[in-house]
Amino acid sequence: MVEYSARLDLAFGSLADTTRRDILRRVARQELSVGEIASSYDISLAAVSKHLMVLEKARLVTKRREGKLQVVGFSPIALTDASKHLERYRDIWESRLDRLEKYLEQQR
Amino acid sequence: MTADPKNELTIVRVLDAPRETVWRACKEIDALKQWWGLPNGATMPYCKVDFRVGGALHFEVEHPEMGKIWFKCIYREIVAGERLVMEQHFSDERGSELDSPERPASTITLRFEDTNGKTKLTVAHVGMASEVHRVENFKEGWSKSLARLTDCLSRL
Repeated sequence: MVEYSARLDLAFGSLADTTRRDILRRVARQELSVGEIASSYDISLAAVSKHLMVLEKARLVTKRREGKLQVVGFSPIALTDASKHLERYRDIWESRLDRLEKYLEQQR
Repeated sequence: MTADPKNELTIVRVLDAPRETVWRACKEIDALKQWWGLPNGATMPYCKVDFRVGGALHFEVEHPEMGKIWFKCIYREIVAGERLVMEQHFSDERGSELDSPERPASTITLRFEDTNGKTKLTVAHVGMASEVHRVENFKEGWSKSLARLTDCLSRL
């Protein structure tokens, strides 16, 4: 939980900047290349890259390479609660093992 | 992306069957079809097993809410009757590995031990995706709440 709060702090902290909030809003609608993002702002490509680095570090966006382009997508991993998703996997496994138990019973 | 070290699950179940039977249930297709893939309300329209190191368990789960999801579990270690290590990937019908930061590959280890005539099965699942539901739905949901959040923040 402590770790989750720390991740949230980082995520919210990274949103304390107007440009970064704007970038996030745009990539949340669709994936954009770094160039496409930069073309909308009156700041240097280097400055945009820096903003993207902050968002990436806060785990709100992910970057992937597509040919020569770097594509930025919305991926708010920072906002998912790790303990909750572990519980979901636990449920999956428990029910899987229930079915295994039932199957083994039928084999006797 | 490096896996979250907390992203690890261990489950132990004692099964009332000989170890050899449990082992077979974990490697033979007819058995796997009956228990491996099906969360509540789901079906498994496709399942193929190539049981050897480097081979894979390739299957499709169709769930009323989650939609169709393909998985490929590559066998990484097989010690007959004792230990089975699989690398689980999100996949497609062709068996491509579609790993991404939101849907990373994870490792499943099954350990089989005798215990008073029964079998103790230990499952360790490490490095799972942070979201089990369809990533697209999830993105949409978060994109809406984040839009609200950013609106809020911009008025501060």
